[in-house]
This record gives sequence, structure tokens and C-alpha cells, in this order.
Amino acid sequence: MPIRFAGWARDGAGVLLAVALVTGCSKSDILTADTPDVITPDNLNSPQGQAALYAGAVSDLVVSATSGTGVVIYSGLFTDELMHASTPPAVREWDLRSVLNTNSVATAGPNPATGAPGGPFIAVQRARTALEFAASKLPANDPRTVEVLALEGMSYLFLGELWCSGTPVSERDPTVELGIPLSTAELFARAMERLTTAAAADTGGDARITNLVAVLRGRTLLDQGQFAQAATAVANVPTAYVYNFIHGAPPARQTNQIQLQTASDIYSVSNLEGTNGLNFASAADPRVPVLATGLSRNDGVTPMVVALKYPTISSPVAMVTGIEARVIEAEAALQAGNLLLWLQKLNDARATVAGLTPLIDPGTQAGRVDLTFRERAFWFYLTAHRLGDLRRLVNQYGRAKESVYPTGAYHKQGLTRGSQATFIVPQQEQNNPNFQASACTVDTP
Amino acid sequence: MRTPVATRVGAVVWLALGLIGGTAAAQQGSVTGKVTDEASGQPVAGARVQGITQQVSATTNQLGQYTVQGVTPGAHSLRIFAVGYGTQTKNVTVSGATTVDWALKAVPFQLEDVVTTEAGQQSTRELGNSVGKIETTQLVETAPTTNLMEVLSGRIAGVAVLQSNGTSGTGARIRIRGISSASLSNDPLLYVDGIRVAADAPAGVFVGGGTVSKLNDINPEEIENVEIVKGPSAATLYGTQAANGVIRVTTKRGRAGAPLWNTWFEAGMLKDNTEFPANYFNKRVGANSDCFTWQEKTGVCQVEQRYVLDLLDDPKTTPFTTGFRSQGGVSVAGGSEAVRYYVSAETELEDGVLKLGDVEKAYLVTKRGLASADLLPRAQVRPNHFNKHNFRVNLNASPRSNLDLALSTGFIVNNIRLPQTGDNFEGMIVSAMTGSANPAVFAATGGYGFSRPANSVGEVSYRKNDHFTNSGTLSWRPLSWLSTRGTVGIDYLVYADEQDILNGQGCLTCGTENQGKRTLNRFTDTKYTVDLNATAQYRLTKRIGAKTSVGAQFNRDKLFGVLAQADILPPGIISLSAGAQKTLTEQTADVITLGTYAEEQFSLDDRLFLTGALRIDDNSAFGAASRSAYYPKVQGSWQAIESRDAGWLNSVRFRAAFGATGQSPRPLDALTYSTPVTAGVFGQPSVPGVTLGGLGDPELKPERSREIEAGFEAGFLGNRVNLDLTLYDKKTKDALVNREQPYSLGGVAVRLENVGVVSNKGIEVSVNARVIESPSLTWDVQLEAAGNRNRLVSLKPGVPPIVGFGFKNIPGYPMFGLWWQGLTSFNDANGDGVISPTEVVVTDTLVFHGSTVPTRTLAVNTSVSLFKNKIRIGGQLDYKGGFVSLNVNDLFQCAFQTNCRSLHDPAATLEEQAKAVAGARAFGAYAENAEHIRLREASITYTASNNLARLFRARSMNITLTGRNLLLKKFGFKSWDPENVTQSADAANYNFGQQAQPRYAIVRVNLGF
Repeated sequence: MPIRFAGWARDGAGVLLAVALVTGCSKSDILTADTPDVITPDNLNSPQGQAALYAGAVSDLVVSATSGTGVVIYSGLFTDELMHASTPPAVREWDLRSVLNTNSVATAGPNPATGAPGGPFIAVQRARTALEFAASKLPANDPRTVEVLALEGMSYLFLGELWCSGTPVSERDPTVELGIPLSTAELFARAMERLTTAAAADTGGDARITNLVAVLRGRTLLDQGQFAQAATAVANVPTAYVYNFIHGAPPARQTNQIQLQTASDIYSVSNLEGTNGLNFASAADPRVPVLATGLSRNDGVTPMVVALKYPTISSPVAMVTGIEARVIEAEAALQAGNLLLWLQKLNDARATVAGLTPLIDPGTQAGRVDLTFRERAFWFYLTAHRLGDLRRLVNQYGRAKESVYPTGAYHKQGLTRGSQATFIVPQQEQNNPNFQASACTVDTP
Repeated sequence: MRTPVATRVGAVVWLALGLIGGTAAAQQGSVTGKVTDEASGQPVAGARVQGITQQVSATTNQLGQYTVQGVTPGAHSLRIFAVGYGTQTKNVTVSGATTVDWALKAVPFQLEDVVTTEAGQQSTRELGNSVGKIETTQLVETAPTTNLMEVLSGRIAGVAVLQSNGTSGTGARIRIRGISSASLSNDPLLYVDGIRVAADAPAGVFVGGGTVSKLNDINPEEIENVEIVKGPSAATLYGTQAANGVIRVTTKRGRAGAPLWNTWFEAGMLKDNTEFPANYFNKRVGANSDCFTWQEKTGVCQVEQRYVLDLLDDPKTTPFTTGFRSQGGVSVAGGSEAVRYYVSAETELEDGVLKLGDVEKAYLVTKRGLASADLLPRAQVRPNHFNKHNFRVNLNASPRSNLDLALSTGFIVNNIRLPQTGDNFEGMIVSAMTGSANPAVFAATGGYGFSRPANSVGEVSYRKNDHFTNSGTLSWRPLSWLSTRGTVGIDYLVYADEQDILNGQGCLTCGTENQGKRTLNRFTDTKYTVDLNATAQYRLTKRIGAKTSVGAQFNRDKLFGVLAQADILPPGIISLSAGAQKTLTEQTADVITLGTYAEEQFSLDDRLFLTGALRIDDNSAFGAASRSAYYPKVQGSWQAIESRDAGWLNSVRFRAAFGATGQSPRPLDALTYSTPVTAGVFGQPSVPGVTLGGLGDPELKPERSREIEAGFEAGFLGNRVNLDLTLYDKKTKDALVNREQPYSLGGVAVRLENVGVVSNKGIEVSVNARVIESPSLTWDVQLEAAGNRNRLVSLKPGVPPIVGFGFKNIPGYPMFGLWWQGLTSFNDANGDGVISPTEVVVTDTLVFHGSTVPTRTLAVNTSVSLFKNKIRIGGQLDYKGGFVSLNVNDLFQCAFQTNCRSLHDPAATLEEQAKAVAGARAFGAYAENAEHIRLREASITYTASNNLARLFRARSMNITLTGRNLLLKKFGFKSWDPENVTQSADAANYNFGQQAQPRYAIVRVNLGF
């Protein structure tokens, strides 16, 4: 018997030792995999977590605007600010105002590994929900709370100015609630609601934040056709005020892709695009500095005019400014028939830039409207204002759609521009049972 | 704290075995003998003698001798298996040391073989499922098979090897019985010597197409055989993740006897034989712009001069040259009955067919101020290259009569330099195809579009693998009726993806790239395997036998990566530390599976077999609400006619199997979490922030595939013709689908959910025939045919079709079929002989054009042996059909670059013109039938006589001349290679700018000492 036991011990000792080691762990222990790259929700309740939520939410809005698939570039393509100078057909659809809801830019998803925000729609919606979540987690009396509320309002402004009437807005915190399509007016109302909340929470201790709220309220009121109220909202904002979307050099998540992609011959500054476009490339206006470099090195066809407004990849983008306050006041004055004030406000703004001469009254109301919107177009070039302005020209000033949008023959490949007046809601939204594609009236400004 | 089920089972099994094991030895007898060739009387090495009535076995040594230890005294049945010989069965009465000799008859094809199952090494006659098996030794000596994918290609029905391009060092996709999963991998699992080994093909640095396959790290020279488990019907041993089949590689082992040395050398050339499309430009009168044929005909413009530019075929500019490959290795095997060894080493290198053309070299010499083109770096002049080194040491020991230990160690170093190809601004082919024939443009660009090759080659890309695979298997037979097996192993792969650009080199329109860049993404992919098994074999009655197997397994797959990039480097340096801008990220993917199984098999007269099994898997990636998965299996096999020589029908076996397995979600799919970002806010340009990373589904459970298959094998005409037919029906339920979330939710774009049902039905037919058999001439033909019908059966209510770039997964259609707006019709309405844009009709919506993977495959392998096997001629014809490919080569030239022949040459057909003018609105106009036949392999081998071999002091010698990819016949595809795809995944595949599979010519010498 002892001999048998010895044999067993020799044969099985090693294996049993291994088994014994394993049995020291529970099944749950064994099945617990390493996940070092992720942050679980319980880590976001501390002051450090709140700071990270705030910074991440602001960053989400910045990249939704100025990344390679941000609203600045794509609204620039959609309008008369930029021309497509490369080859990918999915990008060209935006320049043609003929974007399918399956368009690969529109439907691009975010990449958590790189921080890339995805297509314009999900990027703005992501920023909106992140800002809302951050606002709910930050202390009520904190200036950061005011700022994220204001920026959440700005995200609604993007949705209202750029996307079709019939755009849904859903909530994911604390529980998922899929939204119904909201009209453009309802989107602006949501923006105003957030901005009003922000203003109420603002203790006035930080002029940077106070002015941010004021200009965004003015912009929203302008969108709502409340011109006088808009002027009132921005009256105290100094002309020199600037709220920048901050960028850094790579590897920063927030890089100025507008600069990089125009400098890389992917997009060219337009000139009289589609009959109705403004002469951005040839105007020699210091607000839209350009450099003509010949034909695009990518498609070999498009005259390449590089936008120099943002000189480097880390250049900030002034998304909210005191200039906008003056121009809002000017438009309100025009609406009120106060032509002197209108011209004065426009020229007050122009006086801040060397080389800009004072404007003179063109003498007709239509000419004054044209001049006002031209001034806005040059002031706010590549800041995602232009599409909202074209829509206002139709909806508030009675212009025909095809008299304000780029229209007719395309500059290459024998194509003709489409009829869309707003961004389309991407196909993925059809996973929302409350949304029907027909709710998005993409041809109606 | 509860003790895990698996470990409790393992402990009980091993404890029980240990307690009773000591009683076994005293009751055992043995069977010894010699195995010889019936015709020549020469010993047969490597034959396996296996007990039918008791789970014992032995393999013959180099002298054909064997000893089966531990046989219980009494009546037994033994069966022998040997490569190239027919199986025999003998009934013996064992009493002490019993002698049984065997004289084996050579056969053209083996009807029965031994494969690895839950019960250990089992005869195929016991299995209800079809298992493919390839014996590789002769194959690698006589056929142009330089990697594992070439070994698999066209050898087993139902195993589709889908090439992506002809870049040296890249691999293919392997699909077994179709595509099962919408969003997870469809790659089969790879096992080497019993442990799980890295086989997937993660994308490396971007080069435009072609992915390096880890599967091809394995050296075919080291492989004894490859078994293919085709799907869920036989996956009890493999469990979760085995839904796409299993490739099981067994490496060579030493046999007792004197050292046997083998050495081999090969050298060869590779060449691209593609006729590429040229670029066209019709200069219009009065302007330096293009004038298309339809514009000319409709009076829009007049043509002043027609220009044609063909950079890819012009000897001064072509980036193609003759490639070169060489390979050499040595192995030695031998040992004693107690310890046996196999050691091998091999080195292989290949220069691909791409080079920098003379004009581009001259451009660089001027640009860089060099004295001559000889000073250009070789990595830029020859951008495609790989060198691979394999080392292997396998040891077998039998310290006791009931104990065997097998150790395997393999080490592989594989360094691959990848060229810029494919869908890539910097791709050599694309930049030539997209160039302009306009003489005015030529002066500035060299005629290239995007980035000229001289600049693109400044970006040098590498994949570097160091792959270390170690396994040990302990087989212990404590009782005459009980055998146990424990395998542990670790597969450790370190791979690095690198991409380097020196300051002042690289693409000029790619942001900051030409200011220097260094990318270094370094990954460690570790796979741990623990596999414990015990099988009891016993007889219930004289006619009824039984086997009971239980097992427990642990698998952990952990991928850890550090990704680093430095941009804007000082001149003359490639170093992360030198970058003015640096990026660093980290990635971890960790999946753990714990499985237990039990299997029961009953046999009647060793002809009828019924098997039932159940496997339970737990997996770290299952949602918290669904931790366990249950996988049943039921099989039956009936040897209706035992192998016999008489009559026209010599053997028949019927079989049927049902089984299930699954595929686990990815590691983070069940979690809701945030990911870190570096944010910039007012006054703080760089602060830590968080953004939503994942919106997990806690209900997530494994994708579950169940499969029913049935078939038969039959031998005819004196077993000179074998027919193997299998029908299968595989259904994947709870299919894990990356379901798009409403974007208004502002969360993640997709979330993995169990939402669909996918079906794969098909037929597999293998025919082996010895057409001619005479002393001086034999001619064998092998047909491997398969048909597969893949359909997405349904999506969960409320889930819309899954639409992606060029594909749509919609119920009733194949997964990842090709969907684009199509060209409905065209009509030369005005009769001017040309088609203008107004004379085509295109669809507004996406339409289905066809499957993107072959639904019909046929491989014909043939070999002719002459002069008593002194000369052997072999070949393989490979047919793939029933699929379409999007010809983006023509689409891009016509629709986007507008430099194609169809727009410029009045001789272009109306159809060609219609596609060209419609393409921009209807990509589907270029969805083309990709059906083709390729003469994949051809070889001729001369086996030297013993006398001639002795002149080289060799025991044996043969010389082989082989060719690969020699001929291609297309049935509708207009561009160069219908097999090319830009991605190495199943979704969104298209054919753009890829290098065709080159033609190889190789000479090989094998010497045995």
C-alpha cells in the first residue's frame, strides 16, 4: 500500500498542486478580465471627476465644431464658404447639397480610442448630452456650471441652425428616452431655455462667461426673429470680447482641422460659388485672408485657394465674439428702420480691423440686407454661422431658396447641385421608433 | 466562496485517477510487432497502432517497430493507421508480451484516419461530423506551398481561402462554411499542438490594403498534419469562439531511431503580369482642359489632341520588377523509445515585385542631392520585403509505460516591410492610375495623381513579429480502461507596427508628414491554455462498447498594446524621443473562458457509434445577467460496409451530427464606461477630461450557432474512387450585431446586441480518384467542391437593416452583400454612337448586386507519377464563383478622376461609356461578376535514385520545379484580379488599387541524410 501511494504521489503531485492553486480562486475571480483603459461611472463623482466631466464636455463641443468632420467644415461646404477640392464622393455630396442619409460622413460614429467625434450630427448630440450631464454633476454656484449650460444652449443652436426641422433630441441620463422630432422653432426654444437657466445661475463674477451667455442669447433671439430683444441681450458685450474654442498641436484632441484640411488641398475657399455665392476668394478682405496656389494637388481640377484665417493647427476659433454682438445690434437696427444706427454698428465692428473702410448705405432695403449678411459672412467665415444666415434670409427676409444657396452646375465632373437647404438626419436615427425620415424636411430652409 | 465547477471536476478526476492508478501496472500486458509495406517489405515508420477495445496506442519507430504497453490480458481488437496505407484491423488475444506484425497495403486514398477529439485520438469512423485532414509532408516538398494558407487553399471542401492581394508577407481570410457573424470575427480558431494560438489578422499601420496574417507565421515544414473542424457540430472540445471552425495543427515528432536529417533549399522568382489601364486626356480646342467623347459628339467641345499615359507599363516608370525569394532549412529527428526529439530551423526571405521606377529614382536623386541612385535606401527602392526565421524543438518522453510527455516549443521571427498600395493616396498603383495624361500636368507631377511614388516611399512601414509558442501535454493511463490528458501552454506573440518618415521625405500633401514621423505600436498578444481531460473506455456487453469523457478548460486571450507616435522630427533621425509632437495610448483586450464538458459514446460492433455531449462555458465578456452558455452535441456514425476489395462498392459510412457552440462578445461590450481624453479649456490648454466610451448591454450573451450536418463516405472500384458528401445547415441565433443607436442619443454609434439569426446551408463534395494505376504510371485526381447559401434570416423586431459603406445586412439576403445604387439601363437615344449622362437611368436607392464572398468553390488537384514515382507532376485548378466584386479601379478612373478610356476613346463600347457616365451616381454599375478559375499550382518533381542521392552523401533526394498563380481566366470581371479586396474583413469589401497575386517560379531541393 505505501508503494502504491508513492506512485500516485509521483504521478499526480504536480497536477494536483496546480489544481489546488486554481481552486483557491472563485469562478468570479477567474473570469474577471483586466479593463485598465476604461473609467467606470463611480469614478466621476469626486471634485476631480467633476473637473474631468467639465473638461470632457467642453472638449466634446469643440471637436464637434472644428474637427475634420465638424460642423464648421461641413456647413462651409454646404454653403458658399468652401469648395470640395479632393475626391471622396461622400464629402462631395455636402458640397453638392445632395447628402444621402447613408452618407459615410453623416453616419460616421465616434472612435473612443482616438477621441474622434464621428459625423457632425452625433458629434453635436454627444456634446449636448455630455454638457447636460456635466451640468447636472457640477455644483450649482460654480461658473463652470453656467458655462456648460451656455454651451449646451449652443449645441441646440447648432441643431436648430444647421439641421432640418424635424430633428429629434434624445436623453440618455439618467435613463434612455428617445426623443420625438423637434421643429426648428422648438430647437431654438430649447436653446433659449438652457441659456436662460445659465443666465439665472450666473453670479456675474466671470465676464467671459457672462458675455458668452449674452451673445448666445442674442444669436438665439435673432434666430427666433426677436431682433430688438436680441440687441438688448448683447448690448453690454464689449466689441473686443472673444470666446475661443481652444486648440493645440497634435496630439491634442482639439486640433484646428479647418486649417490643416484647407492647407492640404482638401477644401478650397469658394468664389461666387453656384451663382449666389459671395466672392470670399477674390474679395481681398482681411477678414478672409487667402492664398491661391493653382489647381488642387488632390483632384487636379479645383482652383486651390487656401484659407489663411487660421494660420496653424493650434489656432483658436473665435466662436462667440463681441463683433457678433455689434452685428446683431446692426441687424436689429435695420429691422427697426434705424439706418444710421445700423450703419454705425456695422462700421464700429469694421473699425476694429485695419484695412477695412467704412461702409456706405447701398440705398435700398434689399441692398442693406445683402450688405448686413455679407458683413456677417465675412466676419463669421468658417465659424458655422453661414448656413443659419442663409436660412434666415429665406425665412425672415423672404428670399427665394435658390437665390441664396449655391445652385446649378457644379465646378467639376459635370454634376449639378441638389436642393437641400439643411443638413439631413443620418440613417441611424431610424433606430429611434419616434423618428420617421420624412419628419426631417431637408429641402425646406 | 464557492469552488468553481471546472476545478472541482478537474480535482476529482485527477484525485480519482491517482488513487486507483497505482494498481494498474501489475495487471498489464503488451503488444509488440513490426509494420512493413506489403509490396516492398520495407518498414513503415510513423504508423499508429490503436486499440479498439481499450484506449491504448503506439507509433512505429524508424524500423517499423512498435510496442503497445498497458494492454489488459485477454481478447482485443487493434487497428492500424498509416499515411498512404489502408487501415487494417486485427483481433488478438493478449497474454503477457504478445507479438502482432502488420503488412500494410498502399492505397491511393485513406478512407479512415485518426483525428483529435474530446476522447483523444479517435478514428474518423466514430465521428458523426466531417473532419478535414491534410498530411503536409509530401505537400510542402512537391507543391508551391510556402505558408499555411497555401497549404489549406483548395484542399478541403468548405474551407475558402480568400486572398486579398499579392503583396509579399500579407495573408488571406479563411472562411469555413460561410460567414456566421455580423459583427464579430469570422476567423476560425487556430490550435497548435493542443493550445490556442494567435491567428487573427489585426490591422497594422495603414498602407491601403492587405493584412499580415499571424496564421502564416507557422512554417509548413514543421507541420505533420492539419485537421479542420468545420463548425459547431464538433466543437465540444473547443467551446465558445469555435463557431467559425477550428484549424488544428500538429507539428512533427521524432521517432525512435538514429538521427534523420533533412535539409531543403529553394529559390525562386515572382513577377507581376498585370496589364494595367492607361490614363487618357483629350485636350480640347482652345483650352487646356479635357473633352470627353460624349461632349465631343454633342458639340460641347472639340478634341485637339488625344493623349495616353501608362505609367504602370512603361519600363521607365513602372513600379514593378522581378521579385526574388529563397528559403532554406534543416531538421533532425530521432531518439530512443524513452525520449524522442524533433528539431528544425528555417530561414525564408522574399523581395516583393514592387520597386521605385527609374524616373522616380532620378527625381529623388535630384531632390535629395545624392551622387547616385545607389545611395537611396533599399527600404525605399524595394518597399516590399519579408524575412522569416522559424525554430522548433519538440520532445516526447515516455518515462513509464503508462505515461507520455510531449513538449513543443516554436519560435518565429517575421519582419515584413509593407508597401503603400490599394485605397491609399500614396499607393503606388493608385497614384499612377489617378494621374493625368495632360502634358501640362505631367511636367509638375510626373503624371501621378495624389502623391508620386518617389515621395510616398519615404514612408516605410513594417510589421515585426516575435512569436513564441510553448505547450506540454501529459498523457497518463492509470487504469487499463482509463486515460487522462493534461495540456498546458502559452502562446506569446509580440508584434510591432512601425511607420517611419524622415524629415524632408514623404507625401507633400499629407499634413505634417513630410516633416518627419515615427509610429511605433507594440502589442503583446498572450494566449493561455489549460486543458484537462479523462476518458474511460469500457465494454457494456460483448458487442456494445462505451467511452465516457469529461474535461475542463481554461483559456485566456490577452492583448496589450502601447501605441506611440512622434511627429515633426529633426532631420536624419527616426526616434520617438525626437518628435516635437508625441502621442501615446494604451490598449488592453482581455477575454477569459472557463469550460467543462462531458461526453458519452456508445458503439455497437465497432460499426455503429452514437455520441452525446454537453459543454458549459463561462466567459468574462458575457453580460452579468447571462454568465453561462450550454452547448449540446449529438452524433451518429454507421459503417454500413466495411472496407473490402470485392465488388464495385467497397465501403460506405453514413454519419450525422448536431452540435452547438457560440462566440463571445468583445471584452468591453457589456460595460458602460467613459474613456479619457486630453481636453483644452480656458486657461488650461491640456487637462484630463472624460468622454463617453461605451454604452454596454448587461443582457449580452454569446452568439449561439447550432449546426446539423449529415453525409456519407463511400469507396468504389476497389477503393480507387472515394466520394465524401456532406450537407450542413448552420444557424446562428442571438447573432451579435453592432446595432446602430439613434444618433440623437448622443452616445455611442453602435452597441453590440443579440438581435439576429444567420443561416448557412451548404454542400461539400470531395472526390478522390485514381484514374490510372500501373507500375510506371499513376494518375490521381482530387475534387473539392462546396456550395454555400448564406442568409440573414431575421433581425429582432424593431431593428432596421444594418447599412454600411457598400453593404446592407437585411433579412433574406447574404451577409455583407454588395449594395449600391445601380445602372438600370442605357440607350443611345439620339443615335450619335455615344452615351451621354442623360442617356443612362440609375436607381435612387441601394440595390443588391450579389454576395461578396464566393458561394461556389471547386478545386481540382491532380498528380501524375511516372517511372515508379521518379517523376511526379502535380497541379491545382482553383475555381471560385457566385460572387461579385466592386471594380473600383475602373470606377475611380471613370467617375472620379475622369481619365479612363471609356470617357475618351470613341471605340469604347456603349456599355463601357454608360458605366463611366453613370458611375458617380451609381457605384453599382461597376459591381462585376468575380467568377474565375486560376491555375493556382503546378509542379514537377524528380526523385533521385538511391545511387544518385548517395553521390551527395544523402539518403534521399528530390528536386521540384513549381509555379504558382500561373493562369487566370475571368468570367466578367473587367479589372485585373477579381480576388483582390481592399479590406481583410467581411464588410465593405471592394477591389481598388491592389497588387495582383504574382506569378511564382520556384526550384526546390530536398535532401535526407
